[in-house]
Amino acid sequence: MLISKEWLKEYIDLDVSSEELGKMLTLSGTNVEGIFDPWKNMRELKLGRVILTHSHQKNEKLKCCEVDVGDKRLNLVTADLTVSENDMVVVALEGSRIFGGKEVQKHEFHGTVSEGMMCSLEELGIERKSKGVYTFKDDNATPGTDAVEYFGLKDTVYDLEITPNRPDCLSHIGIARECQALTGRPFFKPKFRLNESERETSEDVEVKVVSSRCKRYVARIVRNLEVKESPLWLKKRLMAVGLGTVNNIVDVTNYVMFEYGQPIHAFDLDKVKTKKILVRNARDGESIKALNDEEYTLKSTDLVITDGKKPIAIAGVIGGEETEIDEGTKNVLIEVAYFDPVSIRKTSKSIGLTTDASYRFERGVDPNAAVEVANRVAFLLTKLANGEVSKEVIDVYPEPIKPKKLTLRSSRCALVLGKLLPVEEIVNKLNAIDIKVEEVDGDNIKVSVPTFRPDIAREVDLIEEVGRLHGYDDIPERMPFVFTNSGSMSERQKRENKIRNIMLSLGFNEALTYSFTDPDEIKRWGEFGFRSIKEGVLINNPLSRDMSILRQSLVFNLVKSAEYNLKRQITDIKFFEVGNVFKISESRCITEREHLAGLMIGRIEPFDYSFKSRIDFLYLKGVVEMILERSGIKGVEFSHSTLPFLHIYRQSRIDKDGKYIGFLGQLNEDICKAYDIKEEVYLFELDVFTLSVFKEKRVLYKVISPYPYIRRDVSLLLSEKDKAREVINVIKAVGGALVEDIFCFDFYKGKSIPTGFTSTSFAIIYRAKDRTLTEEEVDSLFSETIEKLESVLNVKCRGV
Amino acid sequence: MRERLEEIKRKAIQLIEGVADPKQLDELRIRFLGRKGELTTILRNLKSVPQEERASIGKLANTVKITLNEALTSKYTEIETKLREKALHREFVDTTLPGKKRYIGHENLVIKTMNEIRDIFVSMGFESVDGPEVETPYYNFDALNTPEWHPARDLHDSFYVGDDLLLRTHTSPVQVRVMEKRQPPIRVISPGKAYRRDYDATHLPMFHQVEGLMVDEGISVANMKAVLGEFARKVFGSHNRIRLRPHYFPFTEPSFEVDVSCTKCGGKGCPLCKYTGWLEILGAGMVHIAVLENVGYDTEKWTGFAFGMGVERIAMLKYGVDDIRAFYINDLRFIEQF
Repeated sequence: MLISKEWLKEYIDLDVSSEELGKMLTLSGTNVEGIFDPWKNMRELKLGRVILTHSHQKNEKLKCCEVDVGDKRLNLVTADLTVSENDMVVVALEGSRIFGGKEVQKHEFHGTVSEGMMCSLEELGIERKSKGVYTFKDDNATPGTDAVEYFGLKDTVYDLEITPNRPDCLSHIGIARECQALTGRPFFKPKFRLNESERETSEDVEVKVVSSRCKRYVARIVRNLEVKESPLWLKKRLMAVGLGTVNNIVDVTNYVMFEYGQPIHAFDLDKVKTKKILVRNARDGESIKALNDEEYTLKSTDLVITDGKKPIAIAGVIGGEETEIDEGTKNVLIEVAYFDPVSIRKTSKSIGLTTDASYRFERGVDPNAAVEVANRVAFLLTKLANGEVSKEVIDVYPEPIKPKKLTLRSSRCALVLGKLLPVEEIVNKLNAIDIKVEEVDGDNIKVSVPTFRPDIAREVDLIEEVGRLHGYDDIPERMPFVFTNSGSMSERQKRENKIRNIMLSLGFNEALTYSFTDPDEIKRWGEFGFRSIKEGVLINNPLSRDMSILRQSLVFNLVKSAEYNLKRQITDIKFFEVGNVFKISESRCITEREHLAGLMIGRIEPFDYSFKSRIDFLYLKGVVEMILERSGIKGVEFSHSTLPFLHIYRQSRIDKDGKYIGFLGQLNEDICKAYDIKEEVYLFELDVFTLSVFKEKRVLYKVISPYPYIRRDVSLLLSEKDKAREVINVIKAVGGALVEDIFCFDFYKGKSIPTGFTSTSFAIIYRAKDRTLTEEEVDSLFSETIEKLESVLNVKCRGV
Repeated sequence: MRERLEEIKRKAIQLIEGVADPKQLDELRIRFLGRKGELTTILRNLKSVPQEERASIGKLANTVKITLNEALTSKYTEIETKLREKALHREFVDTTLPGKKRYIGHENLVIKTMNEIRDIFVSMGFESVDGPEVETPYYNFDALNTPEWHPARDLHDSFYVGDDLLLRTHTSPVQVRVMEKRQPPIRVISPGKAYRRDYDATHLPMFHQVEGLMVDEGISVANMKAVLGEFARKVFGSHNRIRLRPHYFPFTEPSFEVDVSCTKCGGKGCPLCKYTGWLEILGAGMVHIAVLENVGYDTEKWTGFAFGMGVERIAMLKYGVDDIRAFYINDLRFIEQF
């Protein structure tokens, strides 16, 4: 909301600097987002008198003028042929700046040099669009006078953030009232005397309201007026607050709206052929062509102004084209109303149109200012359009809205603010914003809240007013004194912290991606697990297609993040993310679950130049095993899986007690190609929520054996069908509790190894808890183990 | 005899001096001092020396033996030292070469900041709680005194999902859920993701928030100011000051925007704070009576304050990040800075 300081001065005599006032407004709740002068940087613009004119020799569409600018005469060329001798004009000298900051230079027109420019009102920033050079007559004006000064092109405009609870501040009078409370200077509403003619309003129109959504309807008629351009002062006011100018009638309605905060609509009375105004609910499917040239189809929840037959305006939002004011308008009907705020908001949302009027109506205008506003408009139309005002207003106001009566306890005020304010101060603050204090009875301050403050409905709303006008700088900081337990984190947060720490120490960087994803992405990856589009949670009103479904897996967006880095020559990547995935069931029930996903590309230790190993499937598996181990999850099953987006031989599903908890594997070639990724990409995803169910409550200490271990190594020829897991199971079965550890330390394919086989070496660590094992004991266990491996699994032992 | 001894001594010393290898030293030891060595042989033949000279020759022979032993030992040490030095030199490392680093991951700046904020409030006795990201309009709006058709809903443009559900536009619904379950005193914060249908240079469709709530007997604006002041000092440093700017939120009354002294200029005025010396960091206020009524609290007995802040905003101010979109691109050159 733009507020002009020059305009404010019509209601209050301000004696503070613009900056000071801005600060006061900000600290009292009307946030100043900017302060500017709309006409800043304009310079070297002088009044000039046209001495001689003649048409351009080569181009008859141009006129050459000799213009007196005080100290010299300039030759100026213009395309406006109406400029005549003795006209006063505004001359932009060479090097001057016109509105908007544009610099004016000498310019050659078909061989004739123009030593500057004669300005239009547009170029002076007094109207939006001009037809030609602004010419005027003023015997007191002397050529050479500074035009900026002459036209008073100087103002301080505040760009204010008006919160939705303060419709009263969407006006200059509202802000002037705030200034009264802030500066202590008195503010006065405009004073005017309206002269009415003898003609009765009811002679020309009949008003009927048949909808409860219209609480008040005031109609005034101004007749025999003259539609023309508005005077400069009015144009300047409207320009300062960012409005355009149309004609004197429309400009006056806009002016009064920005003065009082009350929207006004003017109908061309002669175009309301029925001479009737009927305010009613719209009929479903009824349509109207509005002032903005758009056709709107309405619903029964909308409110319309009709001529008794068809809509001529969408109440509170926009007028109809049919009854629009135009140059031929003679008589107008001024409508000032109070509509139900919710109704206006619904209509505005439903037809997708917000106007200055709907913005104010939906926040709540003052129902009791309607007559005053109608009179103010009528008064200005008598002055600026020579109109004649018909006698009396028509005022349909079946149930007048009365000021609210509230009681404020000064003790409650002290409790809420944390500071005791004297009753006298409270009373003064309330009075300063026209909240009438009617009685002070000990602790109780009884007030009447004017209807322009619909936001004040309770005692605490009054406390807010007192607080903001008192200011919060001297409210002390006082730590609350409370008896409660110590602060804590939720179990989920603790779990997430732990997982994050594990991931960070494993060298993973924490990524953060949107919870939205692209349905095409899901199609590309193929459906897997519960990640099918059918179970995806679609956003009913997405920002774009690629953000139109809630993610069902964290890996899509991680791969996209990797792609971003790879394209920027970053080729060692380890990402993880912890976040929710979403799904919707057939019964339309939405669930969210916390997942952990990781992605790895490139070298295992990118910062160790002697360590050249690259990430492979087993490294990935080791990472996942470590995560599970350090999270206290035991007895997890890895088994081969068939997810469509992973390498057919390099993927595994993870189960625990028969429950699926995640997957790991290498992204397959097709998907890599789709992202233009040439590197091997390794991924995993775990359902953290399910994992948490399995977590051991507490790890209990196990006695450490003081006895030495004995190691035995064995190399086995394993085919693709033989699984290392089975080998390990056999070793464990034979060795029992004496087997402390089993690990692989060598894989060999090639010379002396038959094709299709891998020589895999296992080391077995034997140790007893209660004695030193003898070599003989271990040898016998070990040879039994080898025998079992060869007989049960049918694998060949290559050596021990 | 005496001459022989002197000769042996002279010759041995000379030989020892010329040796560079410990093996040769051993040979010399054997040659002179071994069981069949030259000196040993002489000593063995001592009985052929006349009786009267035997004692003095014997003494001399012993002296020679000691001298040779000492010479051998010192030569040995000398050679060992040289060899060790040589060996050590082979192990020379240019210690100015870069080290072979293990890679440790980097926290995401948003999550790191969110946890920092959480930890500050937890240290002040707040309980950190969670809630669903998919919410009902009731918890997201109505329970927070923002009924349908309230103009304030314009600031919370929502994504709708399923049948009349939405992605929460703030994490405040969690607090309503907490209040429904128990009576005051309550001190909770709810960190997490929030969603608004906004996407431009300064707004993201998804962002993080930490919202807090304290309800107890006699809680006032002064209490709120103390808690938020303490928070600001812990996040931005002990010199930081806060300022309450009256504002409007449907769920608090009175409502405030809370500014901190500019993190860049300290309050003198600079482009970051638009020369005001202040930066807005959070919204706060006294919990609206309607909100307390909605959860069935006795509003005469209990008062409280609530606050909420955008984590990305705090991270930007604290770490000087100038583009909010940087948080969600996951450029490793960004992530690795923190």
